[in-house]
This record gives sequence, structure tokens and C-alpha cells, in this order.
Amino acid sequence: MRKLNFTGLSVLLSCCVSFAIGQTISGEVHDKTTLEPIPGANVITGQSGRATLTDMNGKFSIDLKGDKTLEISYAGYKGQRITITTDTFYLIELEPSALDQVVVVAYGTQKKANLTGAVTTVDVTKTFQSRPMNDPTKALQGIAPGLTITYSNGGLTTGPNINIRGVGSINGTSRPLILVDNVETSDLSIINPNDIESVSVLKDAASTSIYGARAAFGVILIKTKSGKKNQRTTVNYNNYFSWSKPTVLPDFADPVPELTGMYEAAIRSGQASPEVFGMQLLKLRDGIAKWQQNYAGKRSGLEMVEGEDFKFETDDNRMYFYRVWDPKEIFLKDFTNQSMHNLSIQGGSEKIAYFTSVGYSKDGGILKMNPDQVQKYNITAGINASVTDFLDINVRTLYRNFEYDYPFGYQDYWYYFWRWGAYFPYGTWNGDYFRHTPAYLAQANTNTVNDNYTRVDLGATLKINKHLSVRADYTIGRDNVLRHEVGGPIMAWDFWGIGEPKFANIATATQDRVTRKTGRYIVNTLNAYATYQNTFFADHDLKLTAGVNTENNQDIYFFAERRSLLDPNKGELALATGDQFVQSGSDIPHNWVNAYAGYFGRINYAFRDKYLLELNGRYDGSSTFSPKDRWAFFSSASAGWRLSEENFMHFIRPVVSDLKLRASYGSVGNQDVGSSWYIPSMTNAAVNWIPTGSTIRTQTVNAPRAVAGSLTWETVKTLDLGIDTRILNNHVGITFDWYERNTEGMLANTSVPASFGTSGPKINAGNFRNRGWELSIDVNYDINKDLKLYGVFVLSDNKTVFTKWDNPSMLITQNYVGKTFGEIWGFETEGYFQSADEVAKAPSQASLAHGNFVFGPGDIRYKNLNGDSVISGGKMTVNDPGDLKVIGNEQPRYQYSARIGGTWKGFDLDIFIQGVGKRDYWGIGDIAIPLYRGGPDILYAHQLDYWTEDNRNARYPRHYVGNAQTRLANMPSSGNNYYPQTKYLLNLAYCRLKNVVVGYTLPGHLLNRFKVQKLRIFFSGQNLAEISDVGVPLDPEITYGELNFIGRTFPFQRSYSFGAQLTF
Amino acid sequence: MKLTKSFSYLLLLVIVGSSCTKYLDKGTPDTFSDDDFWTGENNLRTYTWGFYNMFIGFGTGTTSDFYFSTFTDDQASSSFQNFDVSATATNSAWDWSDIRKANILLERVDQVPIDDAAKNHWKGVARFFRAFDYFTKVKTFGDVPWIGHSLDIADVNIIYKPRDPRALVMDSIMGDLDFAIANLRDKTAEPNAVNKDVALALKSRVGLYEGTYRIYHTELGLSDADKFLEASKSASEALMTGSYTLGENYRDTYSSMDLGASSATKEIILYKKYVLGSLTHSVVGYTNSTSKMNGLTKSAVESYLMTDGLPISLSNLYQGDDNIQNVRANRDKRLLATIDTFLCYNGHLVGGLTSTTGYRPSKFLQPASIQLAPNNETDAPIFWLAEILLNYAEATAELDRMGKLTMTQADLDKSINLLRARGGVAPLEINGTQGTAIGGIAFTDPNKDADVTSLIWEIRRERRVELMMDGFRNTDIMRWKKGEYLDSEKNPDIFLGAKITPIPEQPTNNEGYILAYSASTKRTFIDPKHYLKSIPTGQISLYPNGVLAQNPGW
Repeated sequence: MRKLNFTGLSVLLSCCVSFAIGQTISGEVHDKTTLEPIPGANVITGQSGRATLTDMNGKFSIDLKGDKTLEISYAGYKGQRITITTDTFYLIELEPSALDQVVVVAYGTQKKANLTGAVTTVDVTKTFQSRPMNDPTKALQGIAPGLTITYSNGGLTTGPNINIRGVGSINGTSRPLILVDNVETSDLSIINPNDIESVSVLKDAASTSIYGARAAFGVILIKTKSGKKNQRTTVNYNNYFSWSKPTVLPDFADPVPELTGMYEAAIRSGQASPEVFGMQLLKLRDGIAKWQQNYAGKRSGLEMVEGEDFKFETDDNRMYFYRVWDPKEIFLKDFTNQSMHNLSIQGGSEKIAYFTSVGYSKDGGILKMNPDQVQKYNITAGINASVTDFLDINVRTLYRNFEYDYPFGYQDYWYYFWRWGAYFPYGTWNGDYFRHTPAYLAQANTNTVNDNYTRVDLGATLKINKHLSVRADYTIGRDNVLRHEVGGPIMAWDFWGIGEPKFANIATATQDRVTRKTGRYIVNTLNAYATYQNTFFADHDLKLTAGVNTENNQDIYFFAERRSLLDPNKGELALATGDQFVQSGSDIPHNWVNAYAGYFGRINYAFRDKYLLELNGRYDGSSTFSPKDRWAFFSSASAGWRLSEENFMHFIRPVVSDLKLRASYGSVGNQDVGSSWYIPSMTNAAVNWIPTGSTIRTQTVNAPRAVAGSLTWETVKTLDLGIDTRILNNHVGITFDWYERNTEGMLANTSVPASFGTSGPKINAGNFRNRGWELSIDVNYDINKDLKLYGVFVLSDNKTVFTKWDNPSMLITQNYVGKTFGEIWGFETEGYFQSADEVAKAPSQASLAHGNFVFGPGDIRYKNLNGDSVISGGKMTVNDPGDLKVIGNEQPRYQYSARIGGTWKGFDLDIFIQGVGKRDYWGIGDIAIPLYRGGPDILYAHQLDYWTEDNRNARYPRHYVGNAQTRLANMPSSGNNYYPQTKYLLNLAYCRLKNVVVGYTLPGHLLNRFKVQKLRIFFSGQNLAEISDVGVPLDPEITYGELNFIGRTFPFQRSYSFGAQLTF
Repeated sequence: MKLTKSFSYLLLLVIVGSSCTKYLDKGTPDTFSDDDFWTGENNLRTYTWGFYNMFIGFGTGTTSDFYFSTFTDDQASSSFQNFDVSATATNSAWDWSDIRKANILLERVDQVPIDDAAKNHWKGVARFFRAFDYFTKVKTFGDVPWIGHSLDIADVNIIYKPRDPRALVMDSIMGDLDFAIANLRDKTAEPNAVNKDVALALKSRVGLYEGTYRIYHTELGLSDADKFLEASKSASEALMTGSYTLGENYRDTYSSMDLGASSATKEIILYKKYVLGSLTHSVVGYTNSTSKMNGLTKSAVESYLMTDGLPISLSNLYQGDDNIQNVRANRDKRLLATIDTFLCYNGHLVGGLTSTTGYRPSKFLQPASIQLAPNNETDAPIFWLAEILLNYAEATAELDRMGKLTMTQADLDKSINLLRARGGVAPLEINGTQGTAIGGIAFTDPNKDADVTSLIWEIRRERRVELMMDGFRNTDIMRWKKGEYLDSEKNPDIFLGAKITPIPEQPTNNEGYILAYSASTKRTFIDPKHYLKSIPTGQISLYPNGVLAQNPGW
């Protein structure tokens, strides 16, 4: 496949000057930069209007009927007009042009120069090529200003949080509408990154309102590749092989100081004889110290020596474990592999064009035992055919098979991996594990999720005349997910109970099961619209679009489980004998249906490509609302003024090649509000009761929820002011946008006291306002023929403030007028109490203590902000927050990225840096808060630096076991020394070297004899380095942990990869 | 022609679009709504199962109620428990969702095509649970707003109404229970579900509670205590003359793998079934692991009688407490079932076990169950005859003391003497007015609370030992207005355990009794503050102008 470089520049026409009449001329059209032929370019004679297309070698021939000029045009290139001479052959070089670049917008395309909305296009080649990622979303992180993509952990199947311009509503997901070939695609991982042709990010109401319904918070438009007519067959093969390792992980502590610290903390919290699994902490510590003296460094392998590595202590009737392990070495691979192969073939004749590709990728998990693994197959194929002069039809299919293999979930593996210290029994006795995570992981059955997605799109374009065309397409998407889980017994030395360890099955009765779960997601989409385009009086360009869009979807999920497997190796429903279930806990079958419809229209008007106007309207309906509130009309307008086209501005031409001012205002409805709140629905739930005659928990139907008389769409109104300019001889492009987005009528529960008996009904009650700005600068310099440099810098920020909310008491734990979305309330840390005297003289913190905790020397001293005699949360209201204040905000701010790179002869280099300027987070769980849980579990290495008489400026206060309870209602669940506060607020700002690619394209003359057009090899690195200061040893992007313990999850990874791209 | 064609396509678009109204009617196929749910008796039954979460039993998963109801003078919890210092922002008991659910049921039953008797049964179930929930609220908060019908958001006068007086709420509860008793099906039609007997049992409990509360909490100025005691007594009598009899073995009620088919079954009015893999608890696990156990206090152990029916202070059979064998010698069998044959404490772990007081609670143990939390499947009693007998004896004795009736020996013989007989303890005899005797010889426990008569003291003792660790004690102390029992300075025995030969690892007092907590730990009861919980401040702040009043002392 020929790479069409859309960002190139320069114009040249070289031809001989001569004259010819009434004859056939021929020619060849090339890309000026690459000198590659351009197939499918339009060639039109100036006077008679005869037209043809260049063939797959860029060649054309055309009859002249007295024509004196020839116009050659092709999307993304500056058009050319040449004068016919006497020559019969013309060599035409077209110059790629940023301004003439065609941008994919809603239901059509638009010249970039004429855009009036806030639209960012993504450089597909630089974004997706050479990066070892099988999910396009990952590659989009940081690429477009205002597009925020975050991942809460580094798991193979972790989905992204995506939003455009920050949070859009407190309801629903605030996700943008993601359209792939005009069909909603909530999970982009179904797309093969290699198949993507273009990505546009539509941000303001003017650009998105035509999509209505679900486009309230922006649209990501993705177009996949399709064949081009008159293109010769090209075959592309590319691959990569990648190795990954975790970025940042906490360290396990040396158990001797760890157990001392745990002992002191447990004594302090009133535990008279602190123990873990019956092992008295001091006895355990001393035994470990002895082991370290005698055996450290003398052990290899997993087998543990009885009497040395562990011992049954008859006094305590318990097993003691003395051997010290390196748990990370036992659990985690040094490197895990990924690989990808992709093959595509495309080509086209005069009437038919085709594109087909097949891709395979495999990602391995980081766990050493029974690692998870993703394998993905993609097959896509598309054909466009001109069946008559006036009718084009196209069919496109997309198939994706995704298989995820993972160990049966006997426990939350990451939670338990991080739960206890390095002395815990990671090894074996007589070849069998003890009751701990390795026992489960080593023996667990591999479970599988198989996800088959198929999409078929049938479309037709009817060209009624030169000006009017009608396009319709109908797409069906079918996603079938099948999950198979088989548990079964786990045999291990069980030391959890008292007495001698028994070799026994440590799995529970509920884990002796086979489960099959099936999900089926159906989506049917119809788009039909007509486009009329004409130019009046030479200067007035008018384009009208009108159409209809409907979608219905259904999500069906069901579940079958049977207990008591006859043989875990044959985990099938028919081969189990126990109780049968169709649901489990919150895993409940469902059948969700939704439908959307809308009529839309758009008017684009341009006067001399100078004054630009666009009007949009859409009448929208959604099944989310009751019939009487279902339909609503939303509209928008945008205008642009290409200042640089004005004669009076010509003086700036030497510096400013293009300058455009844009403004848009409009409204879009949001129906993603979480549920059909108008229905007084009665959910069902399991009850902790087994009725007579049954052996399983019974079900109940809950009371109907309270509903309001009327509720309808949330309205999202956006004002956007923007400027686009290209300066310094087109080398530098700058785009800046400022916007204000008001989300009005957000659904919220009416505030009621508990006497009402349920949450107050949802009403359209709240507003918030989001203001932000986006800056994007791109630079392209061709120093000489061999050396070309480029750079892209983007920076954006936004902030959301509530402007209306029903919270008359102004409780700080709810939303209130004036609240900044994401704000974190907490205390200001003044330091540690250094003496009992200081405690006595300071304002009392007693009401903050939980359980046996008493504030004393070595504990956190919270700053007295309101001047009274106690430290408290006051009334927890804005007017009386006690000593609380806003200490941070968990929304990412000042997001930026920078890409610099260039090519020199055959070499290319691309460096991508991405970061977040400011982001705070209050993390809970033992990694962030020492001894968080009520039992002494673990102290990590970073937590050994704690306050003692001799270490008064320690990282942590005097330890205490059990800090999970707060005394402040509805605040994060952490208390005592660890109320949300400035000192331990996590800082998730970072600057990360996200990606570096070094490639080399072999010289053509070496390849030609093998019929190879192009061969490029590359090395690439992901997440190579970062600057961050989280406060605890965690990756700055992590915000998740199993059971809500931050950090206990799949780590983020650094990857090193190489690959090749080959074109025949 | 081209124009006609284009128009026909546009027409097609309009046709496709115009079918949209129906296209958007999707509803919620997998969820019922108020509009389509009320169609049959099965639906009503399913709806009411949700209320059964109120019957906590031994709890669910890693919880372990009964054994965990430690805020008493009976147990020393492994993590010290104290009264709240200041009003809390939230309290899970301040919740009207089950009451709303019951009110909606009451208002919808008539839509369901079933006969009137069936309708009245389901209304009875709704009113039973409304009463059950309000009873919890009154115990916790005293005055609470009575919400008697389902509310619309527009009913602001009711939503924001102040707390209703206790008398109104209690009368409403009794009205609900009387309706339930009159209309609920009997136990053959509704086995081990809310039926007439279950409602009678609740009435027995509620009547005794409110009657005694009004007697002792004179500050309320409510003089009709006898009305509630009579109600309790008659409800108890109805059950005592029914088919229920005590099981042979005290411990079977607490450690049965199947309360539906065990020697204890005939005593059970309602029980909670547990099945491994479906619904389990942890009461066996917590008393059988290295987690430090919530041991029985010196105060609790000493309250058990000797087999001769006399308290330890009076009986010749008492061998002192120098060792556990002596403690257990010649004692009420219920003590032998409740504490183990050995002591375990810091520095003296037995099989890895340790207890705050040295005494190991053994009442809930069941070797046939998996020993580890949370996989215990022994069934839990919810209502059973023993409590009814105790309610009867106490209500009758209080009525006797008030002069409303004369309590007879027969009253004792058909109530607590049945329990004493099962415990191998000589029967209690009435001696004159509110006096007590054993074998014709009058006695009065020298440790008796001076505020009560000997008869009431012995009946309360009977209640304490029979229902040891069953979750009644804290409520009993509150209704008797005896908060001082929970005060460690007025009642030091509640922080003490067994007598041992002192060792360095285990703190003891001067006499060698185990100190469950460090010597400086104390718990102070404040009257009247601690008789009721604080009204959650988070709720008060939702009402304008302090309409929702706080309880005294908070």
C-alpha cells in the first residue's frame, strides 16, 4: 500500500509547453514529496468537462474537445490546473496540502480549511504504526487536545475511561460517541489498529449535534480502510514482537523490622498477644532472624525444609514460617511477551475496489504461574462497486475473535499477593504448596472468555445528479460472548485452622463448580441521508444534508452454573451433580433494550471560501424517556471567517499563510442517564433466607422506585471560540479553542430525609459548567531532501463547577453550588505531635479517633483551620466544614503531550511524551495507608520509616493497626492518622516517555529485485521512563486495586519491541 | 424522471422515520414495575421474602451474630467497645425502606386477584414486618416518625414531620401485631415463615419490652405498663398451650445442622436455615480459630446457679473458682454447655485458642460443620419457646408486683422451672410476696440488685443464663434502666475473666482474675444519654429549623 502523506507540502508542475487540439493526451500524476504515482486522481478537461481517473499506476489518457486546460485533483492534495500545450504527455506532481486535507465529519467530509467546528484529526500513521498495541484506544492517549483517556490499571483486558473535554454529566459515563464507519462502537478494541484510515475527534456542539442522542460529549469518528479504484494490488505485511515488565511496584520489607513494627502497632491498638495466623509476631520475628543468620542465601528451589524453613510449634499448636522469600520473583515474570502479525491486500479496477486484512495478536500476562493471555484475530473485508453510472454499492464485514484465558478466580490474586509479608509460605512441602496464593494459582483451571464480534454493513450511494446524492447504509453488529469457568478442588497444606496442618482441599463449596455465561449484544443501525451541493453565482457554495438515523440495541446475558464437579478436567454442565444456579451475587441475567431515532439536517454555506456558516438541527427520540418526554429538538450553529483570504490582510501573507476565526454555539441532548428513570421499576435481589423445601437463597422483588412526574433529556450547551492559523511559510500550524459547556437539567435524586423510605425520585435538577481551553501546535520542516523534522505539541485543561444543585444544607459530601467536580476534602497536616504536652495543649482530635486509637506523640497533628478548640468536620457543610478544606482534585488537569521526530535518508525517529500537569488522589488500602485493615497484615518497605522517639521526621506516624474507619460521615473510609489530608494525598501528575520509535526503511534498489516495494524495520519502546512523585511506590496512572485497595492490581508495563513492515 | 426518483427516496426516508414512536417503546423487559407486578400470590410471597433479611440469625458470611452481640456485661469483646462519645452522622437503623416496602404492599394487595383471606394474610405479613422494623427503631431511638402509608414526594408535611411520641408508635406496633395475629395463616399453612405463631412470639417480646420499659423509665410518664405486660402474657400463653415443648438438650438449639429436624425442632417457632455453598455464617469459625475470642466475663459465669438451685454465694456445692474444674463443678448444665472445659489466654494458648477472659465460648460449636469462617452452616433460632417462657415469667412477676394479679407456683412451673429442669437445676419456688425459696427454704441472693425483688431478680437471672450470648442482654439492661451494669467502675466484673495463676504474658488483677483490657481502660455509662442512640446528625441537617429533635444528652 502506498502511504499517502497528508501532511506534506509544496506544489510543482513540470511539463513541456506546447499546444494540441482535438487529440488524445496522456499523463502521469505523482505525489510531489514521495514521487509515488497517485491512482484514482480526478482529471477533468477545462471546457468540455470530460473526466477520467488515473489508473493504478497514476496514468491517464483523455480526449480533448478543444480544451485548453486540464484540472487535476485528489483528496488531500492541492488541486492543479495546467495549460494544454502541443505536448501529448504531461507529468503532474501534486502537492499534499494540510488545508486541502479532507476531514471526515458527521455524515460526510469537509475541507479542513472550511471547518467551523472544533475538530481534531489524528495522524494515523504516527499514532498507530510501530506501537505494540492491539487496542487502538491505548494509542490515542494524549494524542488529541481535550481527549482524555485513562486506564486504572495495566491489565490485559482493562477498558479505558474516555471523555472529551472532561466530565459531561454526573449521570452515565460521559463517554463520547465512538463511531466506526458510522456505527456506534463502544469498545474500540474490536478494531484492528492497522485497519484504521482516519480518526477525527469532534468536540463542540456544532460538530456533534447532528448525531444527537448520544453525541452530547463529543464524537470520535473512525473510518476504516477501503480499497481505491484504479489501484494496483498491494500486499502489506507487518508485525511486532514485544517484551514487557512492570513499571513501578512497592517492595516487600525485611520481615524482622516489619514484624517489630507490626507488633508495636498491634499492641498499641489493644491486641494483647498480636499474631498473624496464630504466629505470635515476636516469636515469628525472632525465628526469622535466626533463619536469616543460618540459612539465608543457602536455599534454592521452592521446597521448604521442615524444622528450618518452617516448624510446627507445639506450644502454640500452630505452624510457624521462617523462610524469607522474594515474592515478586516468585509471582512475576521478568518479561512477558506480545506479538502481532497483520496482512492486508487491497486494490481496485475502474469499477470495483476491495480491501481485506487479517490480523493476529497475542498478549501474555505478567504472572509466572498460570498467566492470563489474550489472543485476538481480526478479519475485515470490503468491496465498493460502481454498479451503474448513478449507483455505488458497498459491503463491508468486520470479524473479531477475542479469547482471554485466565486462572479460575479462587481469590482476588493481586489482593492476596500483596496482603502478607515475605515470610509467608510461598514454597512447598513434599512438593505441595501451603494454603496461600501460589497453591491456587498453580492448580487453578484455565478459564476462557470467547468474544466473537461480527459486523456487516451494506450501503448504497445514489447519485441522482451532479448535485444531489442519497446515501443509505444498514449495519448489523452481533457480539457473542461466551465465558467458561471451571473451579474444583485445590489441594494444599492448610495451616489456617488451629493444630497440625492438614493436606486438604482448600477450595470452598461454591468454587466446586462449572459456570457458563453467555452475553449477546445486538445492534442494528440505519443511516439514510441526502446531500445536495452546488455553487451559485460562482461565489456561493451551498451544501444541504438531511436524513434519518435509527438504532436499536439489545443486550442479553444469561448464566448457568452447576456445583459438585465429577471431574474438574471435564468441567461441563452435564458432568456436575450439585445445585444449579442461573445467577450468582451481583452476576444476574439481564435483557436490556434501547432504541434511538432522530431526523437531522445541516446547511453549510461558504462565500468565496471566506465566510463560512453551518447550521444543524436534530429532532431526537430515545427509549430512555417516557413517551410524553421522549422527543426533543436540538440545534447548533457555527461560523468561520478566513481572515487570511481578505484582501486587506494580504500584507500578512508572507508570515501567515492561513488564519481562520471560528465560533460555534449549540445544544445537544444527553440521554445517557443510567436508566429509564420514568419507570417505577422493581429490581430483584437475593435474600439471606432459604425457604422451607429449598437449599438455595431465595429471591425477592424490591419495592418500586420513586419516580417523578416528568423527566427528560439533559441538555448540553457548548460555546466554542477557536482560531486556526498556519504561519512561517506553512511550517507551523496553531489551533486554539476556548469553550464553555453547560450541562443543564442533570438528573439527580430529590433530596429527602430517610423517612421517605427510598431515594427521592430523579428529576432534571442540576447544572454544571465546564470551561476549558485547548492548544495544539504542529511544526514541519524539511531541512533538505534527506532530513525532515516535525513536532506536535498539545496542551489542554478544563474545570467543571456546579452551578445548580439541590443541596440546601450545602453538605460537602454531596454536590453543591460552587463545587468543583472531583474536589477532595481533607485536613491540612501540621506535622506530628512530638510530645504528650503538645497533644494536651493542642485542639482536641479525640472525636476523630476510632476504636482504641488515642492521639498521642508520633501521631498526625491536623491543623486547626477554624480556630475553635477541637479538630473536627464541623457540620460537614460548606459554611461549617470544621477544619476541613479542599485539599486537591482528582480530575486530571493540564494534560499535555509532545511528539518530535524526523526522517533522515531511510531512518525515522519518533518520540512521544505524554503527561498530566496536576492530579490528586486519595488512595485507600494497605499500600497507601499502613496497616489499613483491622488485623496486622503487612508493612511494606516504604512503611518502615515511621515515627519513633529517635525518628521524629519519619515518613509515617506511629503505626496503629486498623485505620479503615472514618468518624466523618460519607468521607473516604480511612481514619485516625489517615483522614484525607495534605501530607498523604497522592500526586498523580506525571510526565511520561510514552513511546519511542526508531525505524529504518531499506533503500528501494536493494529490494526491487525481490519485487518488494518497501521494507521498514523498527524498534519501539513504550512507557520507557517517567517523572512522577506519587508519594508511594505506585505507577502514577494507577487508580485501582482489587477490593478497592489501591495498587493491588495488574501493574502498568514498560515494553520493548521490534517489528517489520513489508509491502509488495 | 430523475426528480421523481429522488423524491421517492426521500419519501422512503420519511416512512422509515415515521414508525419511530413505536420503535422507541422499549420498557424494561427484565424488570417488573409497579404497573405490572401485582398479579398473583407468588409475586406477593416473593416480594415479602425481602423482609426476611431482618431475621439476622447468625448473620451472613464473615459475620457471627449471637456471639458477636458483645456490648453487654456477659462478654469481653476482643476489641474494646464503648459508648459513642458524640452524635454520629449516620445510623443504619434510621432507615424507612422496609417500612415503605410494607406500606406499598398493604396498598397493593387489594389489586391482586386472590380471595380475602389470602389478602388479609399478606397484609398481616406486611404489618408484622412493619411492627418488627418499628420495634427496632423504638429500641434504638425512642420517639420516631410513624409513617403509615407510602409517600409521594409531594407529601412534604409527612416526609419532614417531627418524631412521633413513643406512645403513639408503640400503640401502632401493637395494632399491627394484633391485625397480624388475627389474619395470618397458621404454621401448617406457612411453615417456618411468618405465621400466626411468629406474630404471637413477637407480641410476647414487644409487650414485655414496652411494659417493663414504662415501669422503669418513669421519666416517660407513661402509666399503662400493665396493658403491654398483659398483652405479652396472653401472647406467651397462647404459644405455651400450643404444640411447642422444650427440646431435651439446651445446646441443640444453637448448634444444629438442621433445626427443622432435630431434638430442638419442637421448641422452634422460626429458624434461619443455613446451607453450605448458599448461605453460611462464621459463628463456629470465630470460636474455633486463633482470633482472640470474646470470652465470657466473671460476672456472667458467676450468674449461673448451682444444681441445688441456689446462687454460688449461698450454695454448699460451690467449689470456688481456683480452676476451671471447680468452676464447672455442680453447676447449671447450661454453663457447662456454654464454656469449655479448659481456660485459654495470653501465654496459655490451648490448641492455639485464646480468649479475652480465659473462658472459651463453646455453645455454638459443631464438629460436623466446617470449622473455618465463613463456611459454617448450623441453623440459627429466630423465635423459640425458651424466650416465650422467660417473657411469660417476667411479665407475670411484674404484673404481680404491680398488684394486677397474683403470680402462682404454677406460673413458675410452666415457665422457667421447665428451663431449670433442662439445666439440671432445682425448681424455683414462690415465697410470699415476690420472695423466693428452694425446697421450701427461703433465700435471697446477697448480690441481688437492691432495686428489684428477689423473685424478679431470679427471673432476670434465668433470662440471662438461658439467653447467654443470644443478643437479648443489652436490650434487657436498657429496658430495666440498668445502664450501670455496663459501667466498668460500677460493675468491675464485666472486665474480668477467670482466676488464674498469674503469668507475665497475661495481665491480672490483685486477686488473680484475668484483666480483659489494660488496667486503665474504663467504660462510663451516662444517664440518660446512653439509653438511646443519637439521632443521626446527617438526617437532622436535612430538616429545616431543627424539626427533627436530638435525643437527650447528645
